[in-house]
Amino acid sequence: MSEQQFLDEHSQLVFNVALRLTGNRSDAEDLAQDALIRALKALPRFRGDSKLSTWVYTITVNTWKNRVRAEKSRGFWKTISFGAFGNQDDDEPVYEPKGDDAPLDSELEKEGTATVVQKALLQLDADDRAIVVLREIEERSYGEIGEVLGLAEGTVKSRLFRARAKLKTLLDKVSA
Amino acid sequence: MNDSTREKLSAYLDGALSDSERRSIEVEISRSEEMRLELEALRAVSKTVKSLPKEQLPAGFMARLQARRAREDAAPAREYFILPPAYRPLAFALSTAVVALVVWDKTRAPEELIVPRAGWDSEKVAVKSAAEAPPSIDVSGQLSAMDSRDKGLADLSSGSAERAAANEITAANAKKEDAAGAKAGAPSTFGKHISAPGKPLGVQEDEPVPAEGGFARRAAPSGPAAAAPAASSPAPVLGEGGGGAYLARSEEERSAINERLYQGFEEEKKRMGIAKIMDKDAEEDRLSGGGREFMALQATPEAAQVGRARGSAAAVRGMAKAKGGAPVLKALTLKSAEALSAAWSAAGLPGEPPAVSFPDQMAVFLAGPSGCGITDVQVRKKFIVVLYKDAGFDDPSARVRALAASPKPVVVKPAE
Repeated sequence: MSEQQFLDEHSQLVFNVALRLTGNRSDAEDLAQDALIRALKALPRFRGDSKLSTWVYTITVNTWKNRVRAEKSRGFWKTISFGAFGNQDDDEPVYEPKGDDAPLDSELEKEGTATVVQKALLQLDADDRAIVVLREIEERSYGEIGEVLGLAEGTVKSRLFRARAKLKTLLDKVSA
Repeated sequence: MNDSTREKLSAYLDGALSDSERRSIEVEISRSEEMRLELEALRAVSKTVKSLPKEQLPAGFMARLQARRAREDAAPAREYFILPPAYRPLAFALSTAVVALVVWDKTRAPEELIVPRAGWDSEKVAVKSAAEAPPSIDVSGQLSAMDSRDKGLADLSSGSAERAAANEITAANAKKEDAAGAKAGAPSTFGKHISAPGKPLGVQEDEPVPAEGGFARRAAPSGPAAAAPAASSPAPVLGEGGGGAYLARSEEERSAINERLYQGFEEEKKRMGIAKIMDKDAEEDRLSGGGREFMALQATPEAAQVGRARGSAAAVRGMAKAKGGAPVLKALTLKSAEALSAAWSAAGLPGEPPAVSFPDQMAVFLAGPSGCGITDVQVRKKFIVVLYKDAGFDDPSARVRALAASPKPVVVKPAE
């Protein structure tokens, strides 16, 4: 497979996953480019042990998780350095539903359903978010998700249930 | 409803249950309103997430991707931490060489180096003849293990090491005195003030004691090279008159004489660079497995000149004795016929030394017990190796080898 063919077939897939994992187009594009470049470098070594799409998902999710770890590390030192001045800034937008939030319909009117769901997704931890994105958006099987994340199928099943339960709670609060 | 049931509902929603599990959960859902509501809630969440739109790639995504690839290819990430990869083989080779050098230096067998000190070379031996040799140039004394048996010193082994060495020195001085006395027509005293076992040092009962002791005689040196050490040496007087006079002295007087003699001996040792003469028996025990023993020269201010023993900062192996007590072997580099003649005479060898074409050549002279001889001389890069055997040579000329003149130090090694 040529590089161009690979990019033509997988760039859209990688960007969509990156968009749901990061929550914004700018970070998604940066992550997608990073993951695609890594995939292109590693492509000659791809042995076909798994589906190519699974391999690409794996590279994308691992690249994103590496970034999250790096951001957390930087955030830790930022907290140490500037915490005394109350200058904490999270790179990742955090959705904080309030008890007196407007009803879901009203919220949806303002921001749209996609934005609300995306904000709820960002409340999940990294593995749970990846599981939800791969299952609900990319419609991957439990086995394939486990392969991408290095988890057992049973673990994927239980974590997906917990992630859904948490999303339900978050969305219920928004619509309450 | 517990979490296990809810988890099954979530998997049921995804069609991830086995047929039996699916039939079982469907029966439960049909019977339980709560489970049905829970299933609907999960389905709603799933539907909401699925409703997120799939967005198209941003405009210019591929162009920016290719540009980024080009940038990263042009400036590859620095993978090295300290050294760039090109230098790693060189660094590895250098570090390996250093390690190998250290290991080699630590593990190689110590080479037995016996290098004559400066005072033993031809500069100090270079006198016109043996008879004219200034008494301060104590060639025979420095060849301390000269064949004592040839000189009637066979009984030295029964005495202490100090006494033995003192007798050697005394004998050597007496020998020089002989040479000088022969020229002046005086009777020889050589060998007449050698102690017998158990007798006072340097005196025999039945022989007259010389008016001056060996050390006192050296108080008026003629050679400038020896003026300082000789002048600094005390001049113990053994006694006036003959041995009878000595014996007629009281015990205290004899002790005082012996004490002065001992002090003179200590001074002589210092002058020669001898810090300690090891106890012979102890040394034999220590070296019982080594096949050789060493006596005499320890580290002193002059030790560096006397020689060096690789691997040991202290021991200077100046007087190696063959196993069994045979005296020491040394080699001198002599650069004049006079020096060779003096050494030849000092060693008590009969006849004349072999002819050597000085100054184009120098003579390597082996000092040691009778019967010793040079088997081979190897001129190496940094020194000259003299291989010897300490017995088996009837011809004393085997002690001398003529070589092209060289400033290299001489190393004495037993022939295999």
